[in-house]
Amino acid sequence: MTLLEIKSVNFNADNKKVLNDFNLSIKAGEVYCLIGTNGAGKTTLANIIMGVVKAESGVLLFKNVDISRLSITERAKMGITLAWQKPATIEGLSINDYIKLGKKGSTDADVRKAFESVGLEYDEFSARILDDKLSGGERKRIELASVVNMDSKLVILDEPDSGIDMVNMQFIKKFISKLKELGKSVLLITHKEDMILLADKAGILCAGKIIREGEPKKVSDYFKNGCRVCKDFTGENCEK
Amino acid sequence: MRIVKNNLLCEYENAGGNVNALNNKETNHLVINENKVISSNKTDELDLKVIEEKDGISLNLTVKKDVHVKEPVYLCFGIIEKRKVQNIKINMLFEKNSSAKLLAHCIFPNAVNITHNMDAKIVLKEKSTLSYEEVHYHGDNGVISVNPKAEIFQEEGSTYLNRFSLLKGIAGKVLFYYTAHLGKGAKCELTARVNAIKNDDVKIIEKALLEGSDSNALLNTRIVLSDASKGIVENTIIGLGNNSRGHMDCVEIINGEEAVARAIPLVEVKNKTSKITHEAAIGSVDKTSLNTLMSRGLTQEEAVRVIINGLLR
Ligand SMILES: Nc1ncnc2c1ncn2[C@@H]1O[C@H](COP(=O)(O)OP(=O)(O)OP(=O)(O)O)[C@@H](O)[C@H]1O
Ligand SMILES: [Mg+2]
Repeated sequence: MTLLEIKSVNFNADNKKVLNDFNLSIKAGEVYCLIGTNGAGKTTLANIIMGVVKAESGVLLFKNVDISRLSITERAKMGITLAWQKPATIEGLSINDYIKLGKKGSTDADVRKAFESVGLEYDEFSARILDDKLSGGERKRIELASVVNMDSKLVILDEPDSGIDMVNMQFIKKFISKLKELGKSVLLITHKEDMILLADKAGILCAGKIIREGEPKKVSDYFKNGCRVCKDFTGENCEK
Repeated sequence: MRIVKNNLLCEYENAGGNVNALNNKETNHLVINENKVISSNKTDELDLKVIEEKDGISLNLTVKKDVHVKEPVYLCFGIIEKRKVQNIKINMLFEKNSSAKLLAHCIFPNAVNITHNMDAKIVLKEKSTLSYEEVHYHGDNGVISVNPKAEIFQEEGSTYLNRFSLLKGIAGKVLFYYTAHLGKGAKCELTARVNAIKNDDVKIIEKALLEGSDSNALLNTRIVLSDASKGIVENTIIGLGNNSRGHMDCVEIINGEEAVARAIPLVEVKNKTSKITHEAAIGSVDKTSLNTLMSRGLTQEEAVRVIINGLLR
């Protein structure tokens, strides 16, 4: 069953066509990995799905409902959420409260569980504040803990692995498997090869489109070899 | 003697005051209604002289050399009446290497027309530390005029930590005016939190004069302005001493159609080894934070509440 269907989406930033007649579909329970060079438009796509920025044209269907006019809140209530590439800081908000926000009636035990799934010590972090005193990697893992404590259907993870040390990478990998076990769909944006291999399907975003899609290993190899040779990023000279 | 709760003490409890501490002979406290002492206790740790004046009180507090007051000193300045003027005169002296924490509640729950003036002179001798927290608890209506004014003289290695919060009820017309003179290696932190609503008119003026070498000041101000309230923050740090450091950090959030926020930071350095930084954010709630909270399913109003509550903590 298709959970998310994106059809003919266009988005321009300044004079750049970031998404150009863009199409993507993600099935229920599927981990879809999106790769692409810096500036390809991955975060922009995440923002469009979440409703942070609006596409100029095109259709966004979630559970077969057109969500393109819905607010971020309405989309979140339907089951979409996003762990941001650059997570926000919120002065004065305790991490414990932040994690609980996503699910009404959450308990400390829920927070503890969410922390465990990303390898964070509850006693060390729950009372701390979501401010800029947290290290980059800590903040990233808190972001993941926050999205896992939600009743969401589609979790967008925008580079969940960036800034994470080697020791803690295992938690991030397990985290993705855990989301899958919970029956959630994941749109995983990453630059790391071993993360790509965790996905059911992978796609390359280039020149505003998915230029290749399929089995993660094959797509990853193509990106490493084929795309490096291309370097024109027009999408016109891809080897088919 | 066990204290029988009167109206003010009930309000003190509502305001988050520690009523139990008022029954404890080991802790110092002073509760004033208008110009009358309605309850007090003093340990050997400090000298406390209170004079009841016509329109208020005058208070002299001294902490002797090397004395560290163990428990917080609880103060309450209240007006239960609807119309009154209350003038509080404070003289504080912290002798060498002494310390104390003062927790004051200012309570005006029934105000129709209330004026509360405070005029404090605080002298912190060498290596002494004063932590002063003032919590205001106001009613939801009426005309309230609050004018806390203090001048702090900090000698070598002394520390002054001040936190002023006005989060309950209307703020009223507020003129907060604090000036700190910092000697060598002295440290000062002035923190202010105000939730302004309706027609509140809040003016915060804080000045830190970094006179001594290696002195250090932090001015941290957060005001949330709803409805047609007005907020002005005029903070000043002047760097005079060698290697003196100052930082001011002001956030004013406009959360009302007719609210107005203004910040006038003044930073002046008269010594090439001194350094002062300032950051200010005046305007609406941070969009990234808002989006983040909304992506967790909060409505925009709920998300704004969370951000504002955090900011005013
Ligand atoms: N508001 C904007 N104004 C101008 N340019 C923008 C704006 N938003 C995005 N862009 C540009 O659009 C392109 C896509 O940005 P995006 O953040 O989506 O890239 P990305 O694929 O996530 O890259 P990375 O791998 O570095 O995270 C970039 O060239 C970026 O500079
Ligand atoms: Mg990105």
